[in-house]
Amino acid sequence: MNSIEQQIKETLQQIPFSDNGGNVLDAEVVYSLELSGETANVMLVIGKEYQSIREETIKKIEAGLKTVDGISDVTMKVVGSKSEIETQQKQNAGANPAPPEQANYLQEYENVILIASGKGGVGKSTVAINLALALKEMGKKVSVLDADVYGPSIPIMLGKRNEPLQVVGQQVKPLNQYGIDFMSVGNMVKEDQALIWRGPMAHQVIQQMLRDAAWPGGDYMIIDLPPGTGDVQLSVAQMTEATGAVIVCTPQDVALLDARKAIAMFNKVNIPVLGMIENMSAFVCPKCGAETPIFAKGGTERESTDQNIAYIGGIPIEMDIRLGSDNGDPIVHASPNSASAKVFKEIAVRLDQIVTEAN
Amino acid sequence: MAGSKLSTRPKEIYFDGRMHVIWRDGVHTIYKYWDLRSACPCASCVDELTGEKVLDDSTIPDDIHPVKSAYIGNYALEILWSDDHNTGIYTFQKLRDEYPHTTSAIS
Repeated sequence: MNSIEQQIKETLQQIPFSDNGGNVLDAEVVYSLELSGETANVMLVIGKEYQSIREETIKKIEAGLKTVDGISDVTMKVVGSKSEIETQQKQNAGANPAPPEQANYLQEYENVILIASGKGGVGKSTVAINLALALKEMGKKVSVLDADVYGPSIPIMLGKRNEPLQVVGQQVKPLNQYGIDFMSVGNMVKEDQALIWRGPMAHQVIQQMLRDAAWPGGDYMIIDLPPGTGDVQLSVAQMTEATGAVIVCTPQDVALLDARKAIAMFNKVNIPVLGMIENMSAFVCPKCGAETPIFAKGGTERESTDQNIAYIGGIPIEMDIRLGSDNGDPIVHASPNSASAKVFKEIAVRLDQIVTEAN
Repeated sequence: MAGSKLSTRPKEIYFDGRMHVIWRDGVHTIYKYWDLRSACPCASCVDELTGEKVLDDSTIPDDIHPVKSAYIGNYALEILWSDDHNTGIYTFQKLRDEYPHTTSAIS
């Protein structure tokens, strides 16, 4: 038994067209033939000059196809010229385009969390990395992207200075430390090299780290943003479908003022602000235990109440937190039972709750 | 939660001769292609400083239609029009509140 394609072909070749002995296949009368179950959907092209044999040819093709095993029904559409079909197809395609594409990266992550601040130097990266480690402690699969292209600090904090990124095939492979997959511009350029980039260049690098990286996927992607409300923030907001942003702030007024701008930016790009974290909340003297509110404790909590945003927690100023970051072994990993590590873990639990509610 | 408004996040967008947006709060808005193209907010259609419309509506073909579109993050839609214009970023906020549309009664 011949295949159905073969049978159709042989049948059509026996149907004559024109007076020089040609058949409907050679004369390109049959423009297309699609099988759907036992129904053959046929599109024919018969020009006006063949008006006299039009009906006869259509009938013959229909009857012929019905003799083929596996075809019980035939639907026909006849047009006058090939270009007619093509214009029609073009119009159909134009009138009803496909739904919008998901042009966003990091879809392989359950949650994409942006760690942001208005002001620089508030400890954004320290919070980001310890939060990532605390989430990992909770059993989550976590990756970290250092989006601070101008001042990348994650490699230092994870003790992976000067370790170059490997390219496997077409993709960059993230580094791994303490169970966290991460990537940073710090691992792409030499440390003493200044990155003097205009917006489009920064945009491109962010795109590379999102698109051309072999991110393993997981529960959380923590993105450490640069301070401010600039090009990189906008790039990340445009290229990912972020679950939300967390604002890190010190309690002093200058930091709160800038944090307000960051919140306004996220509102503009429709990224929910999940909450605020107060860093360098107060200094607890390791000798006497007295608490000194160096930057005026509690400012962030007040601000979050004013803005109707959740207050996720406050982190004290502690020597060990700074040392952990500088030594490449963040406190949540280095001394998981310390008071500060516990604070980070509480913050991680709270954030995870907020994210679950938001989803 | 601040910034997390169901009314400015689409659940579904599709085209059938007009553009349909079904929002996460259930509202269904419908846009005519020509109206949307005419409302393009990009810098070559609207003067960036004065906010004045620069686009001459008479240059928009009657049969204007989207060819391709893509989501931009959480907040906007980018459309490539049949006149090859693709620089407009239509924010969900403005699609919901500003750009000319009708609201479907059935949703």
